[in-house]
Amino acid sequence: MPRNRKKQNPHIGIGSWIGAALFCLLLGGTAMGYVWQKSQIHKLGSEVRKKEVRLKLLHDDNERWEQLRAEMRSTQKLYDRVRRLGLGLSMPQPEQVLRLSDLPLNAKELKQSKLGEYQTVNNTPRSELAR
Amino acid sequence: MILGSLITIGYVGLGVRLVDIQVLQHGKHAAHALDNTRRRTVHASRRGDILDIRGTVLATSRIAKTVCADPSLMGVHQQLVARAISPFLGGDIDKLAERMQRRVYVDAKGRRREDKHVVLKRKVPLEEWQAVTNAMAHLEFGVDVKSLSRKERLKYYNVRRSIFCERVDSQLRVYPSGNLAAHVTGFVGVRDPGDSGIHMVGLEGKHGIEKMLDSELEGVRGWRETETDRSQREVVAFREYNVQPRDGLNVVLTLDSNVQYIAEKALEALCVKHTPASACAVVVNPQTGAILALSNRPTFNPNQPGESTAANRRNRVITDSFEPGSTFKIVAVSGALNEGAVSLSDRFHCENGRYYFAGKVLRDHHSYGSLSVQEIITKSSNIGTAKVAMKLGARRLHNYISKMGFGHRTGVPLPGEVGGILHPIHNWNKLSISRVPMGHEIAATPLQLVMAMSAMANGGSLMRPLLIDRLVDRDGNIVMQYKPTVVRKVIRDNTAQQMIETLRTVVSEEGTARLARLDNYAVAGKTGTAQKPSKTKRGYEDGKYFSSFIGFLPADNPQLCIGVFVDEPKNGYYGGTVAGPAFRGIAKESANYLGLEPSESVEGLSVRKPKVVLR
Repeated sequence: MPRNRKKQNPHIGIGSWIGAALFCLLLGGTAMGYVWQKSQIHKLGSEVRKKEVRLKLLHDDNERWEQLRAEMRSTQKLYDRVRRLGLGLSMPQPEQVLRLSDLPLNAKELKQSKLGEYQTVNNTPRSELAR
Repeated sequence: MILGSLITIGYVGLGVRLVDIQVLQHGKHAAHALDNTRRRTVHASRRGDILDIRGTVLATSRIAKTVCADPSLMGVHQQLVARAISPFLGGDIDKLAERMQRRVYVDAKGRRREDKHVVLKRKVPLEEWQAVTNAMAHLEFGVDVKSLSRKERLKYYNVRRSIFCERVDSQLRVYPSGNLAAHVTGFVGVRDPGDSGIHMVGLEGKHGIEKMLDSELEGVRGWRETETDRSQREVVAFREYNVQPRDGLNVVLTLDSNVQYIAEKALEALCVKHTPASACAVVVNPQTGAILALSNRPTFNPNQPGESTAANRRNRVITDSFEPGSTFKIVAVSGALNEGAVSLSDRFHCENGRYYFAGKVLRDHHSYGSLSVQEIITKSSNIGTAKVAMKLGARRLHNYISKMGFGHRTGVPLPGEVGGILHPIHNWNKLSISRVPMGHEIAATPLQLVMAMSAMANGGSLMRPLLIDRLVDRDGNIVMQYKPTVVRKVIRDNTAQQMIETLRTVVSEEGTARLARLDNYAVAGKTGTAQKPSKTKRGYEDGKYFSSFIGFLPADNPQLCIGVFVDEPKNGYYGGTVAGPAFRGIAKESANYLGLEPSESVEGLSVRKPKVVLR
């Protein structure tokens, strides 16, 4: 037996215990972490899948509403509806349309207005009206 | 000892088998394992919409399902399943049940296989598919399924699973406005995989804009490579590729569905009154060449294209060419005016209705003496026009006809356009100079004639017909904007102005198109009444005419050019009396709808233009 063995402490030091414990913890932690990570990936994957399904449903809904809107705006259907309801709606005749011309203040057209042109608004500039 | 040997042998056997599976047969089993879990799915892109200039949807797509059955899961319940789903899929219950009977076939390798994928119906809308799944979930077998053994329960559970839909959604093309602008939008069919062998799911444009802009409307399909678990649910973590589909572009047309509707209604009324073989109408903005309406009769419903005939689907505005008759006189007269060969006041003797030329007689509908060039157009004298053309000369006349776009396709983005017939100058005979100016010996499409008239209206520029305004993506971003294109300047501005003044007289009391006149807008235009060439003998068919009127308004600032063309009308045949009223109907309502400013003066009428001036 070598001489130095006699001098060795037969008890394992606290540092070794701590080291071993830390190693076990690290090993266990890594394993747990791996499992947790895998579980998270699976969980997130499921969530992604669910959200994708939800998104698809919303897309489908959106399509359906767009379709409905397109049908409601269909020219043919609108004309048919107007006829069916008998509201007497028709396009205005040109005689019924008043055309508004926003002329500059110094426009000569006002002085030279022809028969059939109406000046319905006082041609006093607003700045003078304010005084 | 013996036990130890047996255990050792057992372990050795297992090891050998392990090596056999993992090493020697690795390729086979790996492929099988991958086949069980790996999934590659294709995501169809959404086909773009077709819209009019105001955003009204003319064609759109709906997601649809392909409903299939697996008869191997159905046992003997075909009749029960058929009864449950037939209200939603349509069709006879017995026939549906018959299609779901179990069938065995022999595959390419000579193995007997059971048909587990029977397509029951394609293009089933989502709502109907949901109704089918609901009906299958609540299928009643007449027994208390819960009280049965697990094995028996599974049988009934499988029956409920026996109706399924294909993984890849298909699309249903919908035209909300029915036959409105059917010849422009066209229709779609199932994409033909051709010889490529690639399984293609999707729609393909077969006619109209659907066909011409198929690749833009189609988009790019996406795909995903992933793995599934035992229950065929995707394991997102193993998703390797995920390429999203890119939706097709929306096509915005220059058509205005209200103007289109007005044109369609006017044509319908015309067809009721004159029962023609066919009729068509085109409305164009002469300043830009933008087509606002394009209508044909007979027509078809693009939602059910299979129920119509090829004749109904033909877009006669571009595919049929006719001898145009008197509307063509504008070419010879404008050419002669442009070259200075004649002036509007020059007078020609119209031979009292019978003119012997090159051994043949050229006739007018009425006998006229001396007429000015303007009166020749007003009264539509064939003899007068022939004499004007003779002053211009055959070569220059041919040149003007060609410059106005006759004999060439206009380039409108619609399939099947023809260029009409313009014989080369060296094939003209002595009679041609008297016949071509009045629209004989030549064939033109209605669109060519309307574009030529638009050139008169806009100051002499031949425009390329503009049918597509822009392409936009799903978010409304403009991808491509189409601009008006001038093909060439055909006549000078002042010549065009002279032509407008001349064409205004056509709708006057002395003209041939009094019925085309409007109360509030000055109209300019030209009638056409051409006998149809016989298909069986030389010469023309008695009693068969091609009547037309092409006009524009307001004559002092043309915003609308409208052509109405009627093939073989009954109850009258003159262009002014057959096509004129239809023109009037379209012009009046379209001008009102578009809010065109009334003309200062209209021949024979005093127009008071109400105007409010704001200061």
